[in-house]
Amino acid sequence: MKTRLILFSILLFGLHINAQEKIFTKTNGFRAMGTLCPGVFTSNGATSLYFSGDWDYYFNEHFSMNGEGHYFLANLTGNTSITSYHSVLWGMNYHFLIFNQLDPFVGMEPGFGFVDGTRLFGSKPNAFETIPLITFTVGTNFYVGSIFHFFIKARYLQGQSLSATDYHLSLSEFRFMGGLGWNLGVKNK
Amino acid sequence: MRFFQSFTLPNQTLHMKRVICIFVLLLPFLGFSQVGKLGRVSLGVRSTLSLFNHGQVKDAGYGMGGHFRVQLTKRVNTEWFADYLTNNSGNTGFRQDGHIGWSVMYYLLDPNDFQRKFTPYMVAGHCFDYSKLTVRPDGTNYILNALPQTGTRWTSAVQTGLGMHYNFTPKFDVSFAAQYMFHFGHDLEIEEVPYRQVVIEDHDQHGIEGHLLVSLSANIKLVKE
Repeated sequence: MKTRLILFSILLFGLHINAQEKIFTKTNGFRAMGTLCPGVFTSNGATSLYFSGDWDYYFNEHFSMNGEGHYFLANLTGNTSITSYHSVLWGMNYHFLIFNQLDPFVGMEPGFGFVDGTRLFGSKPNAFETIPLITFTVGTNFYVGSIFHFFIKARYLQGQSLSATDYHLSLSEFRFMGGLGWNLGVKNK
Repeated sequence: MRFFQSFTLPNQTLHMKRVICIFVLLLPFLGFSQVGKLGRVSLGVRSTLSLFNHGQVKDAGYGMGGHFRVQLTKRVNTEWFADYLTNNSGNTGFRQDGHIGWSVMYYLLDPNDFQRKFTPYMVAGHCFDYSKLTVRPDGTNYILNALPQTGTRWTSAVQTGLGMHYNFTPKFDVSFAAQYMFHFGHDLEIEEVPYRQVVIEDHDQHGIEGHLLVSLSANIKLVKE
């Protein structure tokens, strides 16, 4: 009964927000977040954990310039020969809705991966490599005020390691993140 | 002078290829006769895919880069780009490539100030290519010999192909382009017998060696309309 009441309250809370008919303008606004981000490699199912941060600057209601960084923390499951895999991305997002609290978007952010691994052959200092990454993202923000917002985001990364290990290794991966973000200049009109 | 002398080479096939390349490069300049807005600048990021490297379907290269565009007339745009690509080379080694160059884009349909959603174009240009080929260590090649395990070279290339903008708005587009890149100059190969090493090869038929470069980019125009 108590659980039902809590769920019911959460649902009503959402209606309460909508009842206020908030109209958000994001043009020239800035948002940023930092969170933990799990990733799943499609080639072998191994999972990794990253500390991730991103930012968006909105040129207008539809378009934002975006930058993102992922700091590799650990391999969680599935032993991969990759010992670290940091990445830096930048690109653009297209936001579907205008003047709305809900802010779904898609984007593409090319970038670089910085990969290190275990190698039996060759010299260890040469194992570190910088690789180009092709990435696509889909997600949504939900602005709840002029200070913060909630977000969820999924990202696909395509890359390949050529020298960090003894073998050619696909680094295609899905990464997921969500949580609380901060914003500046996103105004409730 | 040396450039013009090269046209007197007895190899007629090579001569014809160069004439065709120059013709393709000059073709987009036909659009200069049209009146249009000048100086419209856009900035873009791009992801690139390199296919059919040396005729091989496998070993696709992945890359990233950026470019900016300066529009010259209503139908002619220019693109100034830089790319970094890596690809596997038959499991015996790997290649890293850097491209820096420019292209001229000629819009096949009037872009109508980019109000048109789909805007196809033909593209041709020139670039400089830096390549580094490295033999992948397998425990024997570093021990058995001291032969070159990496090789680098600079070459020049011309590229031509087709592309298309999808204009979400007149100020923002996503572009897809496929271009074939013809390299002129020396090539790097991994020789496996008797020992694995990188060798620099000088092919007689310049222009045949090449690869298909596919790019997807997101672009925003910086000039206020």
